[in-house]
Amino acid sequence: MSSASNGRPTDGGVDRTADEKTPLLYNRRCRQESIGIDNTIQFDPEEPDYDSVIYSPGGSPEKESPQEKATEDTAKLLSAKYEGLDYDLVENSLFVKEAAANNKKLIRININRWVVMLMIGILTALVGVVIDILVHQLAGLKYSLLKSWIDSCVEEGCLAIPFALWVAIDALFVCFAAILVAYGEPVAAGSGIPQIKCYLNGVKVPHVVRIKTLISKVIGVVFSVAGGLAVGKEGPMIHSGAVIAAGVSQGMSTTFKRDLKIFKYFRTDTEKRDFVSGGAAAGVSAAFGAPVGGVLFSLEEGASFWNQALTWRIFFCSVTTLFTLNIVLSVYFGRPGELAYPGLLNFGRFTGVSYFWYEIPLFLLMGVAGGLSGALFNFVNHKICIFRMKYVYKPFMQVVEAMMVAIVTATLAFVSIYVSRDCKPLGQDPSEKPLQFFCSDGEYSTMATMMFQTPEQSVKSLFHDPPNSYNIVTLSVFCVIYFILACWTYGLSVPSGLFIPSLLCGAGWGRLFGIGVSHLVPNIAWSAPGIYALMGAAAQLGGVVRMTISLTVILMEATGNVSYGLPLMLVLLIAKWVGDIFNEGLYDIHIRLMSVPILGWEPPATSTTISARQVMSHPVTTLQQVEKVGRIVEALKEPHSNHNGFPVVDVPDETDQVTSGRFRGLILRSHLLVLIKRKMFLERGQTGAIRRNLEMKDFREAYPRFPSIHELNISPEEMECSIDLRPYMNPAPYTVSEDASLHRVFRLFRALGLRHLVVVNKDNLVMGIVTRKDLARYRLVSLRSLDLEELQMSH
Amino acid sequence: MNVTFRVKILHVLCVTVLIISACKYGFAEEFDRTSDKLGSSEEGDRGFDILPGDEAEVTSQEMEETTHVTTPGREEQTVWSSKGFQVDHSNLTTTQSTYDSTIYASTTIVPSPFIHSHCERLLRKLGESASRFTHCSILHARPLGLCSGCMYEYTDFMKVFEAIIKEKDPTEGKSCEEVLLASDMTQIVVKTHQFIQSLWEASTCEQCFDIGPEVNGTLNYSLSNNTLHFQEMANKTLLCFAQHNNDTSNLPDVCKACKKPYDDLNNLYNSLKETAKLCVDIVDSMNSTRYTWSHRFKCLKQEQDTVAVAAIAVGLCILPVFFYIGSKINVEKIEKKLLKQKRFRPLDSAGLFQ
Repeated sequence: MSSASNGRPTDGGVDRTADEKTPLLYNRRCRQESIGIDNTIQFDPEEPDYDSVIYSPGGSPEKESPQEKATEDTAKLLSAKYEGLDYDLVENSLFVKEAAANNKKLIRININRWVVMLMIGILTALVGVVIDILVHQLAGLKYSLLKSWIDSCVEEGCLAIPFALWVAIDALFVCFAAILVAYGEPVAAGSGIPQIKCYLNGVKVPHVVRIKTLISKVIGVVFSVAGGLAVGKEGPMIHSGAVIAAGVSQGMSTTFKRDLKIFKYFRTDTEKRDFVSGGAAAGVSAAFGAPVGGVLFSLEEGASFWNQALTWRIFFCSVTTLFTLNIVLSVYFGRPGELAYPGLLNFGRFTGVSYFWYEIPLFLLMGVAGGLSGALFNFVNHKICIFRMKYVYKPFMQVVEAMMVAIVTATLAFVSIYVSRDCKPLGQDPSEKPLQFFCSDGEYSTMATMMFQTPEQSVKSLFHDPPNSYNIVTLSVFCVIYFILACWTYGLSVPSGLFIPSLLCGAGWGRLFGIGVSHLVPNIAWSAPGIYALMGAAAQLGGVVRMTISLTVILMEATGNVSYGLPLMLVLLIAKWVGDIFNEGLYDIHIRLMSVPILGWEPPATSTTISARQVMSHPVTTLQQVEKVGRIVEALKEPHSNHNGFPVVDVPDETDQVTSGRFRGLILRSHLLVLIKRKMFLERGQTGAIRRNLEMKDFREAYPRFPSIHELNISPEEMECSIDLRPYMNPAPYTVSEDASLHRVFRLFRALGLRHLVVVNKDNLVMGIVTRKDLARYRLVSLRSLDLEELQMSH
Repeated sequence: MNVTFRVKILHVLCVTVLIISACKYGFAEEFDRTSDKLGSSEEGDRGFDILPGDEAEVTSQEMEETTHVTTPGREEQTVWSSKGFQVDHSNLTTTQSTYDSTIYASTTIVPSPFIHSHCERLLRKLGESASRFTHCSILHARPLGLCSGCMYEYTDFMKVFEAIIKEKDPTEGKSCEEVLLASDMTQIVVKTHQFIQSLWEASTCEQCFDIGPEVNGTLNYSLSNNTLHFQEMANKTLLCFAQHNNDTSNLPDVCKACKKPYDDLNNLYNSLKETAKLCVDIVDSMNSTRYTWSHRFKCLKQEQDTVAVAAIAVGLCILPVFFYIGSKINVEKIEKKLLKQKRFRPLDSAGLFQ
């Protein structure tokens, strides 16, 4: 063990081949410099089996560590705080009994699924409306105040005052948003799409679907957008939709200690997750006016558990959202019933402008550019985020950092308007508040139209303003500034969408591209620069987030023009391919940084040579069918085996070191906790102290926050009692043979949404157990290589 | 070859049969109608009275039309539009009829026996008023003065159009709308109306006027007080510009002398703009005044504050640098504890691998 750890890492561990003890894994080309295989894969009985090595990123580990080079970032770790969701139903005897009794209720439950989806749709739309109106009002207030100051100060030469005022307002707004997130609910930071992606993948991200998160998110995003940061309100909308879905479907809130006592049969991970996928779709629908895009988004991100009926319900939900949002916004803008406000962000109608077939190669070229600039964006943002995680992690520092970014954003905006001399005559006013600044009377500053309004409006201007509205220098400066700001902003501890900044930046250079083309080759008919802006926006966004079908459909629906489908698809395709050469999509990068054990679409390509034996956790804590309370409590308290399922076995053979008894079933931690809490002991049963037997609803009542074992009060006498686990365990869970390959295990896990998979040998004796983290630790080093790396576990 | 010849013969036969039959039906009907028309033209006039002097003109034309009706050679058109039983041969008849109509169109407007003279008279009036409006609008394109300049032309046109929609052909009971607007695909009248209306609406002209109460079913336009006030102020400013324009050597004089009226105008415009959308006349007149003021006379007074702005900007942009350096120095790094994983140790059971 130690000889290898000192050895120079070579590919495939060549210097270890002489070692007969080398397990199969080492025949694979494993990267060793970043992982401590030696320390972790072999279990040394002399050492206590729970130990910790101090892990310090960037520095040398305090304890002597076998690792030659410590991992640079949390992306190389899996965090133990993330647990899986129980998507698989526990078919124990209680469940079977209930299912038999519930036969007639099934229709009602099915109808209620639709009712809940309807409610999710409506509520998501209302939240969208609230965000939109608040941003509209706050930003309007801010800009009209600043405008009046600037207008008078241009004459009197006191421009430093509105400048300072602008900076102060922005810093204040952003400070408020950051406090909400840093001190309120840190999981509300960012766009929330990575978290929702994890949730749909089957990982329980703590606090992600709580009402408190929703509140922080909604108010936070309003203030960060109104505070002028380079952020959008679209990503947070998706997260909000998901939280609403989780809340509505449960009919209760633990935060408010309110239980409406409705929809109790939906209080399982399975049902909740289905609704959350509907909520995410509704969020997309509200954000972009793209109901089909929303459905596809949920499909793309959580596709492994999908069925036709659920798809149909999700579509229902997202169309409901679209319609509700439309109605309410049309009332707000004083044109009731006009239905002209399909989403928070709509790109406006591209009517009458189309593209020519010979422009498609140019669009492809833009796709390449988008892929490159997206990869650059991701690279820089990744580095910034690592720095943040290392040094800027205290709440007050996060708040200060967010304020810094707001201050610099406002400063750059003001200075660029101040310096710019690009003026255009005021026709029919192009924006709501055209700013004259140093322009002549009757003209407006084009730089100001881009900087002095919320990013959504800027995107629209870039798409639709007539060909000669922007001058090249202005656009280039704007693009560069915005790219840097967006890159710096994402990952701050404020709610921030990524779509708008990417779109805006891309629309900027896309428009430049269009202007350039028509200047270089003036003889040919080119389409309007707005089309190029659209393609550039798509390319940039595609290069950053690397989404495929859902993004295409979202953009198509947001433009309301199906004929753009082909170029949009091509652009996104190319942008993704080019970007994937360099790094992953930004959402995936952030998921890695969060150390989430997420399971990809496919098992790693070379995984067939790794067997379940190497994947599984080995000495597994098992329980017997009738077990002593003391032993159960001990198993639950054991800090390192925080598994949520325990194999139930016959009395194991003490002499056998490898296996732990014949497999009988699987019991969940949550069920054990409820059993102990209700004191369902055999001894009490014999004395008649137990009034009634437990039913499924008793387990559901405790959902989703089961008591911790440390909260339960158990007397020493009770420790001596025993519990019969047979009625509560799942007698026929999925198992896998020890000879199965990682590939096979992975597929089974991913397709069925499992949380535990018991590994048995040919005699049905328990060998080990495979959980999500055991699988997720095998990962390709990069998208280009076939090398596997193995991740470490941390808290 | 043979086949096509046969087909041709068939066609010719059919057409002749049609023409013959049409002569029987069509002429009889036509005769009835023309007599009707002569009788009822007076009655139709009562409901509609546009401009004095029209009356005589119309009647004289009508006389002309009625003579045309009986002109021979109109049979084809008769066939084409009367019953519609010749659908199969529409190709042939259409070409023939268009040929005819081109001949006639070059000389006079062909009176169609199936459009009652009353509706036809309205159509003629509509054409005249549309051309008057178009002419006027182009004359008022630069400097823009569509709203105040072409108000009467617009209301005239709308009146005639309203009449077409409202009035009925006294003989047949069909409304003129049905006869004139909804009988063909090209819809010239409807499209012209749309064009004129869109021009008017794009200029947001309604905002220039106080729209009075309806008189005889038509709206009464008059320039609103705001508009008049603005025009007065604008004229004052322009007058001032003109007075001081000559002394080119001393431009600042203009700025000094006209500052008051210009500022007043500017303020009035801004206050008006806040309350409502303005019509294009006002907007354009303001724009051109502003342009003259700032570009021709260069009177715009702008003070830069570069030093202060630059100082603040540099100061603020340095802040993050200090922040990041400070955080890197001061903050202790997060340390993550690695968990030891429980893994199957194959050395215990090396046999498993064989």
